[in-house]
Amino acid sequence: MTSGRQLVRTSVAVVVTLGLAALLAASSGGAWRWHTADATELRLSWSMRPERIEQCRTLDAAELAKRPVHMRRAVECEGHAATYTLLVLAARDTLEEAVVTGGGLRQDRPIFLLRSYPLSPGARHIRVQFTRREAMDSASAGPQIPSPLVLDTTITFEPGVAVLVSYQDGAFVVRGP
Amino acid sequence: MRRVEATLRRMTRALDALMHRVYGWRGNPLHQSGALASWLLLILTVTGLYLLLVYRIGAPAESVARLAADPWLGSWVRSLHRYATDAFVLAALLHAVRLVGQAREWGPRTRAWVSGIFLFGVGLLCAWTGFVMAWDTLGLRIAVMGARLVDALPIVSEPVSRLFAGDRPVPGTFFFLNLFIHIALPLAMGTGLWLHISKVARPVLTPPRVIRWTVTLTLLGIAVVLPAPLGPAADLLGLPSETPLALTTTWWLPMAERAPAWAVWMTIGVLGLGALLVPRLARRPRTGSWAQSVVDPQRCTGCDQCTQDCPWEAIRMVERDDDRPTLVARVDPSLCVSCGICAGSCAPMGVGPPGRTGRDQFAVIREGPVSGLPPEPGGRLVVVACAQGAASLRHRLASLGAYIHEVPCVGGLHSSVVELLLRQGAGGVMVTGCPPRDCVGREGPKWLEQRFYHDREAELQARVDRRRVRTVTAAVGLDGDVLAAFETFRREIAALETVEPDDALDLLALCASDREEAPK
Repeated sequence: MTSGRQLVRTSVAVVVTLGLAALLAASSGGAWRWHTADATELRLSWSMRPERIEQCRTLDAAELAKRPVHMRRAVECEGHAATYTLLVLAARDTLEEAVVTGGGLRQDRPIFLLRSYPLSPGARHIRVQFTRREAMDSASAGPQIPSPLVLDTTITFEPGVAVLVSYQDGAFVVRGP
Repeated sequence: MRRVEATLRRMTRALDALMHRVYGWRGNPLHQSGALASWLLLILTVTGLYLLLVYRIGAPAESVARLAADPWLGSWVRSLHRYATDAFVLAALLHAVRLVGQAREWGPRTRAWVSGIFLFGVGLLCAWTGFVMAWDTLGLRIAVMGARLVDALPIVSEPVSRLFAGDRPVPGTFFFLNLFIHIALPLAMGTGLWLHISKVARPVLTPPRVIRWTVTLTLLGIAVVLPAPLGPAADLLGLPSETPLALTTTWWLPMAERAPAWAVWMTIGVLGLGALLVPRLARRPRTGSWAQSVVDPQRCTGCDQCTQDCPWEAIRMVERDDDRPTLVARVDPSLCVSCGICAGSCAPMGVGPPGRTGRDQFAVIREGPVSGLPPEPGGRLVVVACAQGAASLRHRLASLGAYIHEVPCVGGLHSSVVELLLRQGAGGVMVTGCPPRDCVGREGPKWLEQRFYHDREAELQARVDRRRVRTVTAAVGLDGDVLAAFETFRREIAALETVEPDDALDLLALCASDREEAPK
């Protein structure tokens, strides 16, 4: 091959190599669209252990006598984990109305709640209500979560930022801008 | 599956043709896709070790931002790490496409294919954990998507997604676990790579020096000139309108975000299962051109050459069951890919796939196609052409007056066939093989060259006039080079005296006996 042809070929190879390298860099050089420019959302996130609803009764002497000695307890309780209704309102729109239960097969594991509701920017009256569905009698351990648990406030939603509602020390907490 | 293979073969050839014109066949990086991928893994390991030293689990975003802001080493190494990841994914994909196009993904190669899929999947997973380490907006986005996918599986009690809800800082244990996975996965890849090449003799893990350093320096060059982007630090309550782009590794992200998690898992499952099923879909009956090699124990002299030449370590030497003092070769059918290279390695023609042994090759030539050809000054030219090469090239050579003798791979060509052709009156024999790193038999052109010019068993005998023998690399897209080489060869042959057919020697008998004592 003549040196002239060799030079042309080498030049082409260099240019193509640089072009391929630029393509590789370009594949990382742009931007993916993720949220819309004016995206904002209301986000709910909390975890709590569902309360235990118990029905207790006192056993009489005859009943106790039938039991093996090691199982003779004067008061016997049966129970289940409480369930809750979540109601989320933005202005007059219902964003969600749902039953929330604990995790696990018997629904007695902690509740892990994570919801997000896309909204348009601006000030909006928000109501989040978390209500136990079952009544608690005196034999139960007593309510540990206020029912209904309510957040009723006006929140200003700014573009590009989420407003978080979480639960802490028996009350809803709002975090955001 | 055959249609897929044919389509990928056409695609590969088109890309090869383009690359050959630009870089020549010696510099075609596509032939080195597998070796390039492992070289890039090495670059990733070295750069990763440096990044590990400056990465802080307690302040991931800050430590990576500090690296990116460093105009010298930090930024370069981080960008090189990132671009090498992109290049690795591309190289691995091209490697898979090439193997399917060349029907090299089934039978004994199944283990290599399956481990290759594993390596690719683990490589992608490793890349994603790497993005999360940077903890910019892209890292958060990948983490959120990954958490959504994990939460769809019934394996964790507390949803992982809650880590990124914003009600508390992301715990350091998350970054520790992510870093641990990012480091552990390459170790798993090491095992996968060992499995990947374990059935291959003389595996090539690095590309030739010129390609190796061109790729490395080019990646370093773009790392310096165009540093890899880093988005703003992740803000759990932020809803950024865009994140940095990583096309090769995260192209699926926008689609997956719009789909339910089960649909994403199903897609991953279908794609993974489909990839793993490729060897089964591509398999052929082990007959005809796919039949495994067999050894004729009566002809085997126990010389061991076929075991050395076999690119798949499919031949072993074992004890004979007769009273001869030597060992005998035995082919393991489960490892034999039917490349036929052993046929060219056996001087007494005692091994090879049925129909392709040295004796079978002799039988074809003995039918006398050459002696019936019209004469030319210096004698008629025969081109022994690899059937894997372009058919159009063979047609063009035939139109120039060459007699084309097609072989499945030049590595399986018995050197005595060339001698027989010349003794039958051929003026010259030109053997056209594939580029050495693109041979479907892996080492065909290499062994051919050594048998013809470097006395490797079964060597082309010294009595054969080397002026009448030529080996040429027929790279797709470079037909002109081969045609030019043919014309040059023809001119050189024309300048020689015309040869007369000579059947005085019984080559078959010579091959069967000790070739060293053969008369000149």
